[in-house]
Amino acid sequence: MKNKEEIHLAIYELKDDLEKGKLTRREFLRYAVLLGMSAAAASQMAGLAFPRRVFAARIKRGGTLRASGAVQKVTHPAQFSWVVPSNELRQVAEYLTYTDGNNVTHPYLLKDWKVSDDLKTWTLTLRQGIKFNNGDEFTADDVVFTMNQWLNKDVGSSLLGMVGAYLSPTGIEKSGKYQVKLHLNKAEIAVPEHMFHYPAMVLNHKTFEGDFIKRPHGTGPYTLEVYREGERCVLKRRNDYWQKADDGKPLPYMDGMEFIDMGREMAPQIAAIKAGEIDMIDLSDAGGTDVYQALKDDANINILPSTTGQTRLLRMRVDMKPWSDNRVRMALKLCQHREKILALAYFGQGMQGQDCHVSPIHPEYCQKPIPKYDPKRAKQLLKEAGYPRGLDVNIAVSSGWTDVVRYAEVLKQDAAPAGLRINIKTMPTSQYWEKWTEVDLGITPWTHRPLGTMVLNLAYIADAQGKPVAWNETRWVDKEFSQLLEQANGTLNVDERRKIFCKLEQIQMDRGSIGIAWWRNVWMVTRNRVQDAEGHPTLYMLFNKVWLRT
Amino acid sequence: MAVSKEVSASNEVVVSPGRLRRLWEGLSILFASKTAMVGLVIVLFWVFVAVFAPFLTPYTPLEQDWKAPNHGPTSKHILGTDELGRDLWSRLIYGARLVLVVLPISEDVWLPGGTALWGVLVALLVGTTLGLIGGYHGGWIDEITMRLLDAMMAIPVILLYLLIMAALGASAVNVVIAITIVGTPGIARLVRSLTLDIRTREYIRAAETRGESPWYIMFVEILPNARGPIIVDAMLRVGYAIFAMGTLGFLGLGLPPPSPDWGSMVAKGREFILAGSPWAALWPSVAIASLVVGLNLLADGLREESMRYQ
Amino acid sequence: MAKFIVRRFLLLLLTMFLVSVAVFLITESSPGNVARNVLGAFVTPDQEASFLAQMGLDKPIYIRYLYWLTGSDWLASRKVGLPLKRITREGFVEWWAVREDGALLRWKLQGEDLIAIVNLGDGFVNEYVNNERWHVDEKGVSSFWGVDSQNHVVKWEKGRDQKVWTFVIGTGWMESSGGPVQYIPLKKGFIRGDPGVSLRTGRPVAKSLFIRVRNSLVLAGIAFVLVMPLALLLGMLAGLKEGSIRDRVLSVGGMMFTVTPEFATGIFLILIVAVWLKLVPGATVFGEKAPWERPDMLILPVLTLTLIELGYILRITRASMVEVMKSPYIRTAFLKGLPYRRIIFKHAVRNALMAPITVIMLHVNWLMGGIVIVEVVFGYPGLGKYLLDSALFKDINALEAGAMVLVTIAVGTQLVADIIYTFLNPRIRYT
Repeated sequence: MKNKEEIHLAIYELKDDLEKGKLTRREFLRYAVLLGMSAAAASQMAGLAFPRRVFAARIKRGGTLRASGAVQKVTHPAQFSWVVPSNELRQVAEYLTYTDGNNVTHPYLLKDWKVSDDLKTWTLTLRQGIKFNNGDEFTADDVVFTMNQWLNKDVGSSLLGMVGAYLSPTGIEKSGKYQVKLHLNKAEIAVPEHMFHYPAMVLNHKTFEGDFIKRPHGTGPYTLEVYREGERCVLKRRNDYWQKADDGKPLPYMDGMEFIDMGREMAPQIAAIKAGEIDMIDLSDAGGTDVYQALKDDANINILPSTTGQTRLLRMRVDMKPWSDNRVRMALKLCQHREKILALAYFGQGMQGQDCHVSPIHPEYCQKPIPKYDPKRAKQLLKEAGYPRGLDVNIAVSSGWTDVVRYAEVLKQDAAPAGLRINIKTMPTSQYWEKWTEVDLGITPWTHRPLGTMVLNLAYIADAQGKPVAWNETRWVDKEFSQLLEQANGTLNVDERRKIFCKLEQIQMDRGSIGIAWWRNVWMVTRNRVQDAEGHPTLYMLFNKVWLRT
Repeated sequence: MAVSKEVSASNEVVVSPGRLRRLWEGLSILFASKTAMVGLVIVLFWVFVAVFAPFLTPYTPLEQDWKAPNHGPTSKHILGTDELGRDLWSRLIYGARLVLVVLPISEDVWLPGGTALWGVLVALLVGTTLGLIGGYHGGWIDEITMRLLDAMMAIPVILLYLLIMAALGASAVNVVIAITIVGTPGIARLVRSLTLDIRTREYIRAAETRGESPWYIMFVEILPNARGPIIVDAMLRVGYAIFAMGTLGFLGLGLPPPSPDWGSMVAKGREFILAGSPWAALWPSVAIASLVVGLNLLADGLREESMRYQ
Repeated sequence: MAKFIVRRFLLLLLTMFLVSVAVFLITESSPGNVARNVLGAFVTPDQEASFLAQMGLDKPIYIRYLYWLTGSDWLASRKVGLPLKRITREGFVEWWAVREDGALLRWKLQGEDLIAIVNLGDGFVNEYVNNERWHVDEKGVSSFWGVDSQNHVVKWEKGRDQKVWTFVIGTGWMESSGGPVQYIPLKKGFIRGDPGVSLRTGRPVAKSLFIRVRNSLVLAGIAFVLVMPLALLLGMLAGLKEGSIRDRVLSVGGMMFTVTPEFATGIFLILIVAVWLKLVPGATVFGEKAPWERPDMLILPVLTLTLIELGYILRITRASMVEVMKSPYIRTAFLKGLPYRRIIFKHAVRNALMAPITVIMLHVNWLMGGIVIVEVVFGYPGLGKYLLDSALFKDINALEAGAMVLVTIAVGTQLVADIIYTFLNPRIRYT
């Protein structure tokens, strides 16, 4: 039995080394930051003094934060397919764990978790004395109920694909009023991260009947007052929240929060935040480059950037011609002028990628060189593949993501010398999501996940019957890759895991089905009266301790 | 222009010495009106730059200069560059080509005659036929077509565009279809009212007694005599069509990228206005406005002069 | 006159019918499906099918149109064998079956037991096992038509070969044979005043539509009130002396604004007035009392609409005025030596106003297009934005209802225009 810090093994091991004197504090900091940890958090861990930005005495209570964000149709939190509704409702209902802006996962509604050595038995201990906003006590029944909802086929949660891969309803055991044991079908290290995935909100087992809006009973710091789809969502402070502020009084500091649905157009939102009509733009489901461009020089606006594992995935279906031929796939990948794409499509606000779906901020990332733009070799490859006169292909992109469109336009231009004639097919975002798994060539946005294994297990393997899993949009299944990944899933030690990942990444780069030109930065955009907000790679709004300057 | 060409093409059957004279009369009406001349100059300017676009710029509309995105006007790029470092002047004049000179069917196949012109042309064909039949035949055929067209006209234009484009997807051909469907009822109504008037004339009765077929009477006797107002109306409609292309492009339903469609250029450039680079959105807006103004002035001038002439 | 109005009214009905059919057909023919839109991109085919069934979208198009138009409760009620009743509880619409003794009933399946839920009022319910309602057919399959808690009439079956796992609240996973096999979503139908539930927001269309229509009417109304006197005045000034400098400046200026696309005008107004000059807000952010709580936020959207409309009406008025000024009776008045003011105000103005008023009414159709764009540009929560979102989302109920509102406005204003015209010009008689 080991304790929770092991989840961030690299950091834990580094800390171990630090304590044993193998590492200097400075080296520890360097490595921890390389692993995606913020300097502040790492310094804290290393026992170094790091100046805190805000002192408790300055904190003011009261005020209402107004944010622009879509107010979508929501019934069952486990069915969320967008982050925005979770940002509104996560102030009302909460999660078992909490992955902070530095990719470190902490217990939240859980007091702690323990995991067996084979990574198959997880013991979750609940924090006691937490009450739902309707007065019910938070107990193991709620956890069992919530997890069963994730795994219920009729509910149709995206967690079913993630958690369902290693956990079945029979594997959930209530082992005490405040304790739940999970018996996994196979080893999995990312369980705590999954419990912070945005559809994983903890529900009240006594009152939840499928529509959270009808009975918005959560453990969070706010209560839901108004939820009018397409218009407004109003949250009010609750007085008996379980978390206390530094001064001993209960959180939160603000009296309320209000989300206003201003549509998908960014111009009115930019104008509104500039004029102080709103305090924040929730960009979690939007591109945001236009917002960043327009506001980056405004002294009244705080922009908190986060480097992320979010990306725009150039995906080719390997079960369809011509992408079934790896030479053609390679040719297209070689047509990515990554520096140019990042500069034009995303204004340089990110990191260049390497055609493998592991981001430099994932702990198990193994460094690889950035592939060069090489239209000559691409042309040669096309010729070898039997297309001496080049090839005409259609690429599906949503016109709603302007950076994706720019990416496609740059790619079209740079692929022309190689003989790849790309025809851009635009469609509204909703239509793209209708056929994202079906098109042969397209660009799909993928969101950030804290561990490399999480993504690879979602999109690049087959299920037990050998059929590509639901999110395997390219149908790419590679025997060697799957075996290595299985091995990585059960490998606890980050260094060991990284060794496996070096091979995994190389396979994906050599014969994979995707191109990744860059990893996006995302931005938390607030007026500067909003204090203590923290950036987050998925732009989750963790606003318990946010307060407003008057 | 394609519109007038079309009308005279259907006129070909009755080649008469009067044709040249009538053309001259038309031109003299044009020259007599200052308004029409101003309009004509503006329209001709756009037609000229559209036709000779490849000779008027050293850049192609797709060439990306990734070191210089979103620049203002410089000596290298006289109108500046867009978000991918493409020259705005060349995109603007190639955009004019899309409106006035070429209709891209696919990547490599295109038809002569711009997208807006084709939209109006097809609408003219359908609308004129319906209007002629309704106006000449009368009776239940007229009643049914007119009620249906009334119903169509009652559908707000924007709703029609949205529905059609959401259903068909974004492409030049679909823009033509959208413009056609929206334009047809108006043209049919106009032609019908003109037909109702002309039907009572002596020469129609003469033709009827000669035993000419109804189609002959409709297209050879009635249509040529109704062409004046139809031409003026068609010019206004080309203006609307250009406007509609802009609107569709703005809503993300225009021609697919990277084609230099004006509406799409505004829609994309708009993202950067608040970031301090208004150029990419400004120029195509100005282009749409100026071309529509030109067409309006031309139509106005023609209408005023021909009324005076009569 | 009455006959004419009746005829026009019939035309309105015909138009609404045609448009509603067309919207259904067009939406149907376009690619994609709603389930992906609502449930997100990651649904499995099973979930998709179950969702479509629950929304009634698995039925053929003519059935769906029939349900949309006339409702489905009458048919469903026949299946259940009990009358159905729609009530509103805690602000949510709920359907219940009315038991023979008048009590309100719903059912749910728990394992293989049929549980009846009785509504006792005030949010209290009572449950009892109600297995006697199962209807067993000759193959031994038990089935039952009843109302579920999601406002469907559902056909439950048990005794079939296939087994399914169902999750029962408070108990856990249970293996049972059977479950819901057919759904009829309950609604009253458009002609009975219920446009249904929005697929996008899951809430009744009527509620959100009402607010949206009101907001749009406020926007359009203010613009209209501003534009009309201004445009008529300027138009007449321009038309007084055709070809004068004043005429040229006004008519060309007006045309410039009319032909500049709304989106361009709007965005440059935001840039100049809101961002550079910081005079008024460049976006609309409304709270509870929209749109009155912040009148300053209405300024730019109204201004954009005004600029577009101003030129159009100005030009029509001008043309009409020019014509009047050339007419014989005005010339006669001048020849008689009547004072200039008197000629203009007594004779010319009145006659010149006739044409524009009717044309403006016909122009309402066009104006609506402008409103859609303006609402999108300024983030204004109006009907236009609602329609655009619904169209892109294929939210058929919302789209239909919105389209019906637009058609009613368009045809209605035409009717008003015709009536005004008859009054202004008594020579015209409608038969």
